Amino acid sequence: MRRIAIALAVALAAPSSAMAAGRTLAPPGNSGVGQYVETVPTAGGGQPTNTVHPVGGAVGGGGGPRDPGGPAGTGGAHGVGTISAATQRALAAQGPTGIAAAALAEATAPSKARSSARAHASGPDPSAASASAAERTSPAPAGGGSSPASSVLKAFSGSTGGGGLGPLLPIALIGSVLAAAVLALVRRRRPS
Amino acid sequence: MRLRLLVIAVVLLGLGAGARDARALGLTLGFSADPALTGATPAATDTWIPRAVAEGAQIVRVNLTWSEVAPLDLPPSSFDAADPASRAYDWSAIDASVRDLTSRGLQVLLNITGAPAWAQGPDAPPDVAPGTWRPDPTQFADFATAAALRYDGRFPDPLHPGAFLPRVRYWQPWNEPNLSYYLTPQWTQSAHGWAPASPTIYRQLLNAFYRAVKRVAASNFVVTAGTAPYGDPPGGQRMPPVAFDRSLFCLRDNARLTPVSCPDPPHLDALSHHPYAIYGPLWHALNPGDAAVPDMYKIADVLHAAVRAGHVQPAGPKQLWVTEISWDSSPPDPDGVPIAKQADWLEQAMYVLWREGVSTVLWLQIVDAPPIPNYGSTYQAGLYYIGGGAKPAAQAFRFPFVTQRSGAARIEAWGRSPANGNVAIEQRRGSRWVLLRTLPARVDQVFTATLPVRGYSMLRAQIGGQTSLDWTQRG
Repeated sequence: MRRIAIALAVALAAPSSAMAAGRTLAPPGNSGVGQYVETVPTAGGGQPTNTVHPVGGAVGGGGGPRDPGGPAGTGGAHGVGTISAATQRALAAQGPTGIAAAALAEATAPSKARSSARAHASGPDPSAASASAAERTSPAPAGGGSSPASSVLKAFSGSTGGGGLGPLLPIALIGSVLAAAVLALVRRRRPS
Repeated sequence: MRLRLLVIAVVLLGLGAGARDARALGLTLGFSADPALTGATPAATDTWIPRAVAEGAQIVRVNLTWSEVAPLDLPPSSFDAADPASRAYDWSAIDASVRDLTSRGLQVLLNITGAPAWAQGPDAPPDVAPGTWRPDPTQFADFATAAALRYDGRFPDPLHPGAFLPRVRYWQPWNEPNLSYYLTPQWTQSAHGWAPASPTIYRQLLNAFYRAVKRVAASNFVVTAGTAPYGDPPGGQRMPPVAFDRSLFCLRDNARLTPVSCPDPPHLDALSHHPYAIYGPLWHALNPGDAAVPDMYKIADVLHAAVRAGHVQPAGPKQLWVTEISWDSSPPDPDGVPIAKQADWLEQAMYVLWREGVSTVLWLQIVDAPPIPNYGSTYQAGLYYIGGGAKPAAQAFRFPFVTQRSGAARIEAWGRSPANGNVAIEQRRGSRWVLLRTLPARVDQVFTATLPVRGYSMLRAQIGGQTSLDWTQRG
């Protein structure tokens, strides 16, 4: 039951993800490779992350066999943020429930906690720290944001660039509500 | 009653993405552009290429950076960019890699990226990555022609008079074109908001490249650039791979993938994706436009819709490839996954990808990279440590074997055989291994079986003296 509740909570958080700001998770062991971080859903708004090109650098997210000399980008860290890396690993060891719990904690953390955790996670690597700072302060591009109402509408209609059911889902939901209301009215008027 | 049916229908629509049926018994394995295999030093290639062969690899991806082979400055008017013998080109490093790999029986996938400055579009912003800004499709086609002619099997080997450079059949134009790290711009802004730009730029590059290499040899095989797994919202540096593919194939961004006008649809033989995962091979990407291992169906769905709409040329079914995937291990990377888990994830990923229709999987590297400048920005996903010791992942790569419960008293077993013969699937009972099933298998081919197994169980497969890792099937 607890698993279902956690999964449901994560699922409910997911629709806002396309609008999300920049909490990111990296594949294990590759916190400095900005190309492959995943943006975690938050309520932070509609600006994109700047984890690939740290502001002021030519090419960020560097490193790895394809670019061994490249500068390290920020890219988040595996499990950085609200809960410590050790706790994240311990949760991950619990299987899907633990992983879902970690993702949920990251996704729903207060922004203040997230930003202080991010600053802490920057650690001694100056390039990562500066990139992290750049990420915090980088403005949203014009047109990249959206109003809360349109965000909700897009999330429901699946028109966020990521797929979904399109207009079918809101139509079906509204239809369901109307049908339920009509059914209730009919039952109330029917003589018992 | 009707209301209930409606609710059920809505729920079913929401859960519409299920597992895909497997389509073929073949699964080609290889390595991506690991420097140890592609010319870091002769000593390294002498060590690691034979090991790659021994591990069952069939193909290795080789990076061919256009700007490193081509002249740095704008070439003179006498320069024929389509001539592989032009003195302005320096192919020596690629020649060596192709020689080394093919002489040991490996196929080569040449992955061409990085335009020289003179082949980029005008008005490049100062902060874009070098070689990424609107590469010129005509120049790219000329370079592709030169490369395809050099490796068509009939070009004289400059180091060995009387011999010819080996034939290369597999070609991959560009890398991760949904990242501004490799291709810019990703988006363009107008009064109506952000519009995708990179899919159109890439479609032009892909089609120019396809026509060029097919003109040299019709049997050349073109694999699209693998897309990176995660994207950002519109205007960001990374386009979600599913959105990128939809736009590439001129499909409307809706659930039905409605075709829109596509005057010159993408030309390809296989579509590639790089499903790096944040966690294990069963972990789905959180965002609908992203695609980790179990989300390959999203990529496949777009491809199938494009094929149905006639938005892929030439007509007919296309292959699905994964040209990069890996997980770093601990040791040596302190933030990697434990070595036993890395092995489990590797073989389970192969199974999941195969089920979703993938026919070729390239693991990122055979040997760990040195942690320079640090572990976080380098890859330690090798099957071997730098010192040469094998990780459990080596055995998992050579002989992957996994099971999955399909009923209370039934499991599905899956593996890829490292040899011809009869594969024995065994179950551990106490301290003994008991034979459950024997079935014929062919080297590098997939075998499957449905077995009566209830509850927790330890299983393995054996063939010709080779044994898979033990696989734990939970109850």
